[in-house]
Amino acid sequence: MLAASGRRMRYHGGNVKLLLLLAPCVLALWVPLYNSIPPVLFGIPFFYWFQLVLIPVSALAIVAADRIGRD
Amino acid sequence: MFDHLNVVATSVFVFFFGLVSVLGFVAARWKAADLDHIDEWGLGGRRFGRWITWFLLGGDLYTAYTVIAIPAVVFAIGAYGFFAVPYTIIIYPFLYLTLPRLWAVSEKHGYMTAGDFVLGRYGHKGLELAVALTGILATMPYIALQLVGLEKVILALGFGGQGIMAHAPITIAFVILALFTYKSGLRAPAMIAFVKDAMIYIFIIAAIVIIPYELGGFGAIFDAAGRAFDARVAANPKLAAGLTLQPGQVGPYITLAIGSAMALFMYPHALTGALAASSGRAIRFNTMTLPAYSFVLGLIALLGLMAIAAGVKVETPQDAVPQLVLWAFPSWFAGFCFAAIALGALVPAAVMSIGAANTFTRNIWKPFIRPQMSPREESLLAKLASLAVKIGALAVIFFMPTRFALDLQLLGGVWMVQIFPAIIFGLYTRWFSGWALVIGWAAGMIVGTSLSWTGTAWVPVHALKWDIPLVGDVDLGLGFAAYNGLTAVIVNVLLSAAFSLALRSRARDETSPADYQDRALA
Repeated sequence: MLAASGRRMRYHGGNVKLLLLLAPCVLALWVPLYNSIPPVLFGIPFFYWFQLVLIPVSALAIVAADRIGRD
Repeated sequence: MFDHLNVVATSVFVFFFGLVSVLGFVAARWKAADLDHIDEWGLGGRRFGRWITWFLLGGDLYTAYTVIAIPAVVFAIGAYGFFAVPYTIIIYPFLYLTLPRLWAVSEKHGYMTAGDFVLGRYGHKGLELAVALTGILATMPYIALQLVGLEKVILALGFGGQGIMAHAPITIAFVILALFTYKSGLRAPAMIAFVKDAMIYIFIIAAIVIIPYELGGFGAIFDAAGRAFDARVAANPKLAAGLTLQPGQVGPYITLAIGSAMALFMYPHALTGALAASSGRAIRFNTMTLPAYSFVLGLIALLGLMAIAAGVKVETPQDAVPQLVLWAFPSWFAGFCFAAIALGALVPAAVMSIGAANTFTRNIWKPFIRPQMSPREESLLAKLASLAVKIGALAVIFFMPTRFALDLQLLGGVWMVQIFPAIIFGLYTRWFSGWALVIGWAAGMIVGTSLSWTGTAWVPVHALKWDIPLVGDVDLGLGFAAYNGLTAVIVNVLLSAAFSLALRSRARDETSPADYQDRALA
């Protein structure tokens, strides 16, 4: 009983892990979402700053995914 | 040939180049071991910890050619060149899942190359040969392009010269590179990478602060670039250029990012850098930290727009970054930046030649010519092969038009992704059989290559409608063009799966499921 719920927990953790790894990829490839000039930030069009910001976000998502199931 | 030489910049350039050359030779003593063993020469004894791996892979993947070519595309047509950003975003989550498995099985069985792995997994020499040939074929033009990057900055220093003298500086640089790679193996680029990466970071931080200041801020830069693209499109309505993607560019942008990400770690130099890591943990750490280089790459891409705003004059878009550097910085710092780019050519060129040499030795010479090689003989052969690869790359630059190397590099990516099914699926299952994967590979190579030829030029993308011999016109009706590497690998996977159903494999699989587990996590 305990072992079964443990397995289900791990399975659930595995899903969250995959979601964390997948989400930045989907955003990065969802080009129509960010293919525009406004909103401009510090003079930089959305197309450029969105993708630049997504880089550290994706790295943090991997860090978070890595934390799951390790403790 | 020295009439227009920028003496200050050249002095700084030569100083840093000399410094790393010394480092390259000293590296032989670093983590001292018997360099007559191929595992030591060609893989640094698999003892590179997380930070050394970070510098090595960063220096290895984000090459001088990248620093020149990505901003060149942005300079020429704008947003499209930014595909390198989604490409480098999607690659790390993928590597986080797959690369530690490949590292674990390779460490367990002593694999040094992708060919070693497929031979152990599928027990199929033909597939091993296909994987090895693809790697070598795709790597040669890539090394040649590093030389193009090197030549661009040397040209910007003001070297003139005719005929053979025009190539004298890169020949000297390459001879030095060849010698210390021969002596120190993978330790040389690993050690040089520290200096090179630090210099690239200083160059980019300075550029991203100082150049926008000189040009009146990012707003002014994007305004000027946007006006320039509008003017170019007005002059040539067929040109697809702009600050955002044009409708026809969206499909290629997405598929190029996916296909390039699938191809990157199939290259021998990328795998060499990764397999030299000391643990699966070190690799996972790097999938979280290497995006720092991707961020720098994104900033480097913006240099293309800054070059437009600065109004630099160029003969080809590839001169945009060197000319921008000369425009923006005093001579001494320009020399520093050029040295950073030049070293950015040496690190990958060294790792690429080592990766190609390991592949040639282990997967072509050993199985097909001389199976009874001792580790000492393997090491010597790999060293000689690394020299041969570099001489080949120099010959390409000397005797072929640059266009040739560029076309081959473009095709190299299309070809490289064709070994993706054998390697990546193989990390999870032995359901596919060796012969089926060879058939899929061959079909992928043919489809990818033929899609890329327009009759007058090689291009990486093709509309998703084809005139297939014996079948006729086929149109998927999706209305966009896609990267040929991706289209071809889909054909590859479908055929591999179909033939795997028909041709079940009874060949031995020397790996077991436990071999793929990352011990750091288990």
